[in-house]
Amino acid sequence: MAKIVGMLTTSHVPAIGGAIAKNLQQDAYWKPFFDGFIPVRKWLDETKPDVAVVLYNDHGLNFFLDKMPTFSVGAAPEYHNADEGWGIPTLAPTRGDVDLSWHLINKLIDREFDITTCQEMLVDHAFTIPLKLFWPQSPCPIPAVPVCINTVQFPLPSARRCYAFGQAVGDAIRSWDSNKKVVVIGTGGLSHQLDGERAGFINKDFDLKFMDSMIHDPAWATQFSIHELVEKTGTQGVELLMWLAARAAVPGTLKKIHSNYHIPISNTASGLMALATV
Amino acid sequence: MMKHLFIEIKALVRMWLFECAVGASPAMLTNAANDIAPGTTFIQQEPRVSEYPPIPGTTLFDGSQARKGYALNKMCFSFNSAACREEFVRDEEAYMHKYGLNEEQAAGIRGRDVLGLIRAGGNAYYLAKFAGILGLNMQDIGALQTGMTVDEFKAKLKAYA
Repeated sequence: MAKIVGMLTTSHVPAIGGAIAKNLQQDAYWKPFFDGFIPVRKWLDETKPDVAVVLYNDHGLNFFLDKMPTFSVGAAPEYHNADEGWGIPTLAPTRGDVDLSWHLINKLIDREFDITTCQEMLVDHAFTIPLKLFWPQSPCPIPAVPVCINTVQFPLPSARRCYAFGQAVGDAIRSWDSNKKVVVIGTGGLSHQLDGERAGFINKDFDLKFMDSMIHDPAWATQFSIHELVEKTGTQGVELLMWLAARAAVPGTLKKIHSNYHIPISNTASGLMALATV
Repeated sequence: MMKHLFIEIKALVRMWLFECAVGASPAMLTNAANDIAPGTTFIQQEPRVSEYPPIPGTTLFDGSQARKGYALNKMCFSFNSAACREEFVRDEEAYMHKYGLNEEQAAGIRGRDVLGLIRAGGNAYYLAKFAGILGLNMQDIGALQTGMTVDEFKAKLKAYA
């Protein structure tokens, strides 16, 4: 059976794509952010996962409001990035793993998560940039399966529901008849708000508590309603749902490889965690 | 409370009648007939977010915003394509007309009024694609919405560290 080697979580911000394209990794503004990834890459070099399952949220590249699935799973042989309209470079396509996709799809529906399946799926910066940060080579050296959670249009799935979804994703991976090593990635957050008079809102105390809960009390954030999460973390901070689902997919005691928290990257409090299965 | 409930029911019935009048699909009519039990269940149809107190300076992009802003968001979604961005820049009025923006939305686009566009149903992610055409980044947009200069807005972000 497949083995989950650990989980990685990181913020995703379009501006990171611009910084990578301009080689600004050592620039004073960007260095505290990019340096966080060095120990994580070292762990990846040693651990050598074969495939990644990436929990992320689309920002209006693949999905529009005409059809907005709450949970969706990619089932394509290859995932293409494309023009997102805000002027960041388009990254190389990422290979998929169609066997793992269909295994996930079958198992998730067995568990009554009636997901949308996507045999064609454009992936935006929330999928491509984290892969680029973890594996700077182009294209990404390992295949990946995108799993998308809606954070565009309310109502969003509750934190509790996302946690249960993550548990089902983890169980599905562990029941995959394969000898592959899988890493689970969650991208988004942490606190930030782009829209309205409250734009620029950040909540460091909450973010740090949430990051701590990833290690010691994984279900901690499930106590909050979506409304409370927006209030505490901002309209886009609610993307922490991806972290929560990723952690639920890799349960039990995990070993902290590295974590980093830095304010601000663009308008975002950026977080990074790498936790290994023991 | 009763008065509130009555207003809700009236609004929902009016909505349902409107959907019938504009030619709802048979599936929609079947759903309406099956899902709404006589008399008591209307209140459950209320958008869930409205059960909570509003968050100052924050508009949750719920069903009511999604309905109101559909044409505006659809136009902004088209800005994923360079050809569409160019077409908009060539003739903004014609492009807005093509997507059927209402007057409030068109005024928001003409005035580069981000808060006005949110009120008119705009979603942050799609509006950001419009901001991309104008060459504005997220700090510029943040400054516009909060009445700060860009430097003040950046300082505000940094102060959270």
